[in-house]
Amino acid sequence: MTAFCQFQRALRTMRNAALQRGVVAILDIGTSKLACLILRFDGSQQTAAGGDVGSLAGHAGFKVIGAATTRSRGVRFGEINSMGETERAIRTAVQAAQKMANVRVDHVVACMSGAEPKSYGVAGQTELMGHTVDQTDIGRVLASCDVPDFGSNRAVLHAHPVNFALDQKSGLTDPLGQTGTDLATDLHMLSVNEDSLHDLSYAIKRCDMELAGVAAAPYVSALSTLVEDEQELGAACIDLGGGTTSLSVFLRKHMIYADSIRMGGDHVTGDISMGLRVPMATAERIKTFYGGVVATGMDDREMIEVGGDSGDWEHDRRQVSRSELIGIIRPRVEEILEAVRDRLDVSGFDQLQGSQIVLTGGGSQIPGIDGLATRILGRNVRLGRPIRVQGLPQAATGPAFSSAVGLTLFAAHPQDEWWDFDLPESHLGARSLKRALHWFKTNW
Amino acid sequence: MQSLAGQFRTVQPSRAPSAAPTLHAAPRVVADPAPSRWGYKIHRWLLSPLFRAALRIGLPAFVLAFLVLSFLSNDAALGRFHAMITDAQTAVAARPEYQITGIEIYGASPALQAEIVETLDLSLPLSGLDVDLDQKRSALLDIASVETAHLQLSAGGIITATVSEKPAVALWRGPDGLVQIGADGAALRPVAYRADALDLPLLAGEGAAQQLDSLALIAAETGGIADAIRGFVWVGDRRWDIVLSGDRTISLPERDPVTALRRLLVLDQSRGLLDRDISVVDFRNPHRPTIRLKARAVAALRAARGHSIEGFSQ
Repeated sequence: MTAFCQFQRALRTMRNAALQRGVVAILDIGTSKLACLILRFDGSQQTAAGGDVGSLAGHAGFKVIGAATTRSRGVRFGEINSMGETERAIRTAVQAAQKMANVRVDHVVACMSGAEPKSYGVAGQTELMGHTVDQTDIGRVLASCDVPDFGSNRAVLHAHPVNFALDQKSGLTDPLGQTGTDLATDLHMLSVNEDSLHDLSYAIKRCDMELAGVAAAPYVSALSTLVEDEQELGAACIDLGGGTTSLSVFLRKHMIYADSIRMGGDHVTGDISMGLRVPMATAERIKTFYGGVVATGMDDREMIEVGGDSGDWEHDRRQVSRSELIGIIRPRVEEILEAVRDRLDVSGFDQLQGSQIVLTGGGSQIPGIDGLATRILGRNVRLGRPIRVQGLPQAATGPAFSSAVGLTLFAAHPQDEWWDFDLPESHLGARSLKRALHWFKTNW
Repeated sequence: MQSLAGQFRTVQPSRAPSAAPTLHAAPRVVADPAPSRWGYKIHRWLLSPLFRAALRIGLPAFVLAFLVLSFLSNDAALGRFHAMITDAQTAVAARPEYQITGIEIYGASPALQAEIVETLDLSLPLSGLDVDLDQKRSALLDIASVETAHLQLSAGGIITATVSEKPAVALWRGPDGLVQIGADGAALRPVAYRADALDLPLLAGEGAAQQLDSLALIAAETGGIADAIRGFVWVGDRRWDIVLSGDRTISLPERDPVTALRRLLVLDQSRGLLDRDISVVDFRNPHRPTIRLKARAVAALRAARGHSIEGFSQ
């Protein structure tokens, strides 16, 4: 458990260095789009005293000073598929954003949308040393958590202490200073493929930058699109991306479940390309201009020029009705949403008090998808756009940028995670004691 | 936020499919908009403040230092440079505005004027930039009879020397004639006739000029006989003689000449010593002053005593 802890602690150290520098880059490496935002921290990111969040919900401490986006290359299902291609795409976006911001950035906060995330609920329990809960007790109870067997080649991306229970009192967010005897905690851990994480880190290192933080895409999308009471009462955020559809479930302002489906908008484009026998670029354009999921009588009469430059007049003058296009798009979108429903059922989302579902990501811009999602997922579906952050260009405020905007919030105010607490010495010392014994055995 | 909206960059690697397809569209090359690795690195360097400072200040400073040092290491170029500076200096010094055409001397006697001109040693016309006034002034002060000196370059190319001469306190008669003597005993200037400096006491004898202090003590006591004094003689570099009119001499002792002189004056007052026909009053031995009479007085004395004048030799 200490190995991934060290990696995440190193990221935290790097984040502190970035905050000291005052400039950090946000990199959302998606399957279809790569967005880079450059943030400048003005040093007032501390929330106002007395627990008040301050202006702009406490997010006034930074400002977006550079933004650039480019078509992503070398990424499949949210994972880096071709290192050189991805590196060039990152260079393109970072250089354009640096040019706009006129500063050099050395630290990157990135997100992972694919890499097969898996959620684990972990519980831990310990007896208090004294009467009241202090920082060491929290460290001890976190250390007592029974870490599940992730399997080989897995890395922990998030480990949020979701809930604390003191004797019979449960549902505590901050047990510090309370009196009791037994302290228990529930930890939500999210593990991803370690290789994908290393690929991401390596791609950024090849661009002469350092990784200063990494987050799961569904988590940061939810940070930027779910409003506060949705996060509190329970909501699911579904990020319909290009190569992956990721979802996260929030309760009491903590992520309690996250998953990713390896299907997305690119598959819809692929279906159109195959169905209409047009290139992918043309299919993408047709999808964004004429796409939809609910066909009406009007759509039978609306003919779309498919086009082409094969030189065959008949082939290049083909027309399809919009109903035909919708007939191609709808089954795939239904398939995606049904997969989402399956995952939500697994998570136990239907047992939450408020079962709000928020659709975001580029795929949520398909007209009529909210109606379709209501039929498949339940009644409480809305479309979500990311929160407004200072300095964000108008062109980057759409739902496709919800994970990028969420990353800015994550970079500015990360929630406390497992590795932000001090572990008790006994937990750390076991290995060094063993090493000392080993040294004695070999040398005497 | 509004201002940034227009600057938002979207980098599209491939052409977007045209809405209205053209019949014979030329196949366009799909260019990768990614910067090269070195282009990316250099762009980042140019954005880092330290590198920019080095480029803005360090590079020009290096080029400047390189040029200056390469110039200094070239002897021929350096020689030409020095020659150029010398030529420019000469050209400026030769301008008529700096030329000295005359010398004016104030406060000096004609004899001293000639000496000053000789000392200044200026071969006119001369550039004012080439004259070291401080050095010339110290040369003027080295002249014995000059007490103060001011040198000034004034408009119109005139060098003005304003000097004051040292006052003479005595005349000294030496082998080459009369010389005025200053308070420090230095010979100031020759005098042709005694009549030219009647107000000064006349001295004679080797080393007399250095004994002005003891002379002053003696001269202060001469009260009754002051008008009769013709001069003072420093004898044998040890004592004073006072020469009076009528070829009379008072020989003072080495030690305590003032007391001896007072005694003489008392004698003169009470007995009218000096009114008598004597040639030398000898006080060299203060306990036994001696008088030498003139030949006529000796004869008269002898006659009065009944001795024949013959058989007496002086």
